[in-house]
Amino acid sequence: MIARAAPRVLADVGRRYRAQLRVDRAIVLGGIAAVGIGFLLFWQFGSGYIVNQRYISTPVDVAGSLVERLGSGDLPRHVGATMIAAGGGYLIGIAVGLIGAFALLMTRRGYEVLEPFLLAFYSIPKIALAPLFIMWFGLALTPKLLLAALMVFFIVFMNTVAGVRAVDRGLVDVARVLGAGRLQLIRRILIPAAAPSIMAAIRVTFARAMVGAILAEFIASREGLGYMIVRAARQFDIATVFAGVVVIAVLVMLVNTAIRLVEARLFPWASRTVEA
Amino acid sequence: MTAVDEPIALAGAPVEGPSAAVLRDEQRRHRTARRANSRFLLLARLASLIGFLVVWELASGTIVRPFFISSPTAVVGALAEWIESGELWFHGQFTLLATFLGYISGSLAAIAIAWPLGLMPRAYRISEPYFLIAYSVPAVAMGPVFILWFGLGLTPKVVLAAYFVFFIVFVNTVTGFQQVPQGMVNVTRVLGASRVALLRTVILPSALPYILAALRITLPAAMIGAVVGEFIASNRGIGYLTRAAAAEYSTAGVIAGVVVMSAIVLTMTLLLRPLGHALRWQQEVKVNRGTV
Repeated sequence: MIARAAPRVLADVGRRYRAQLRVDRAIVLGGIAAVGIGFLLFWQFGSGYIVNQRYISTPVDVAGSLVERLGSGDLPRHVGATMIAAGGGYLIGIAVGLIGAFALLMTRRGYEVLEPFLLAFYSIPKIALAPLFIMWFGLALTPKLLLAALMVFFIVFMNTVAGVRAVDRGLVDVARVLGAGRLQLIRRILIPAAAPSIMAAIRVTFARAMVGAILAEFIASREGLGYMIVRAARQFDIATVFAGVVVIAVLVMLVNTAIRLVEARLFPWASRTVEA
Repeated sequence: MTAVDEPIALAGAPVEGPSAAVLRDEQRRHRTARRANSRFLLLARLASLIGFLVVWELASGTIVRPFFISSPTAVVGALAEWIESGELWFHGQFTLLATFLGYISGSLAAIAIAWPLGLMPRAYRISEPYFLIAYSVPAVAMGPVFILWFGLGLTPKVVLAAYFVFFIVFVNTVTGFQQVPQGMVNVTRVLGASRVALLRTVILPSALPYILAALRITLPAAMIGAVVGEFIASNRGIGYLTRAAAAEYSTAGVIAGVVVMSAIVLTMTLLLRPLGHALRWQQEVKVNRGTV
């Protein structure tokens, strides 16, 4: 009796559970859509009663400004300038960070001796260097590139050092005993073992490169998204300011997704934590 | 990479006979080695610091133009001048005020919003995509917006500092409330705990390490927010002082500004370090540091 009823009961429970999951998912998705649409509608029609529309614009105006600047070729030019600075700085920062970390770790006591200075330098707010870079290198690409690279460099450097120092001594000793040279040691043991913490740094730092490039553009530049935003702000063109912010957010999200996809392909084993 | 390992002595097992002498000997040698090691480190660190300063001073004006790197004495001179004229204190107080106000309001707002969301999974899932979108806007990009809204005074700097703090505290507070062990919550409920008792004995103790860790790392972030606001538009504050020096092409002044900011950040980090050890019942937690 019981034995015959059991499969039916189980199937019933399973069905009810799945139905519940479906309802739950529908509520969440519906909620997300409702919040988003409600927010946009309120921004468009209702916000004027609370704040002057001149301060917050409207979604339609923001979209209009985006389309207009897209059409005039203005936006692509600024996006290009910012992406070259942020992307270039990102790559330079990663390369220099990795090379610097391994070079320092290859010396016998180098890291121990320099540790307090590195920590002190690490705690310098990197953006404080923006005026200095602009003073040195003018308004062109160089100061943006450098600031973006510096924002990335330290995170990659510190994470690489932490990752390599955490490598199991036993692995290193065995590799040495088996006759591995310096380069082999780095390539076969240190890099694979430190990969998770290096990858974590590489994954989270693009947004920082973007911050560096945009901040340099805020302070002084002739093109780029930061320049576009600051100039629009001076003209009290709040729709364009928001359009710029939206573009920045979209760019950061796109690049982060791309990095995550590449990473999942290249290093499926790397876990997801940051040390720095 | 060189760690001097402690010679192994088995806990609780009193060592006697000749092996005791060997062990004592080994321990003494180990202590000497360690002392020599730390003396070497101290000397090497001092030497590299002095060497760096001397090379900087000598290179300035001979190999590199002082315009680019200034010199240690010029930087100290600029600092001394700021202190003497009272400018450092005058501008410093505005930056510090904006930092603290922003830090407090930003973290309070973050905790107030994240607390209920962390305990209501469905509400969190609904709002999550929007927080992720807002989170991926570099906080710096909001600078001009806040200045447009709130003018050139203290308010935009406070708001920007709060914005820099908000998301880091928010993300970590939500994580803290979400990782409260459900089994423990269930057991406490079954044992008849009231809501308040549950909160006090289970939920807060396991969420607090995350919140405190976030609070510990965000004070420097708040100062960076305030300084960014001052960079973009202001007429006082350390950020303004630095930018004004840059406008006069005074490299020493800019470097002095950077030194002041770094000193403030270092002091804040050191002052808040005990916050990490305040909770002995939990191990160090992984903090999400955001992108400041």
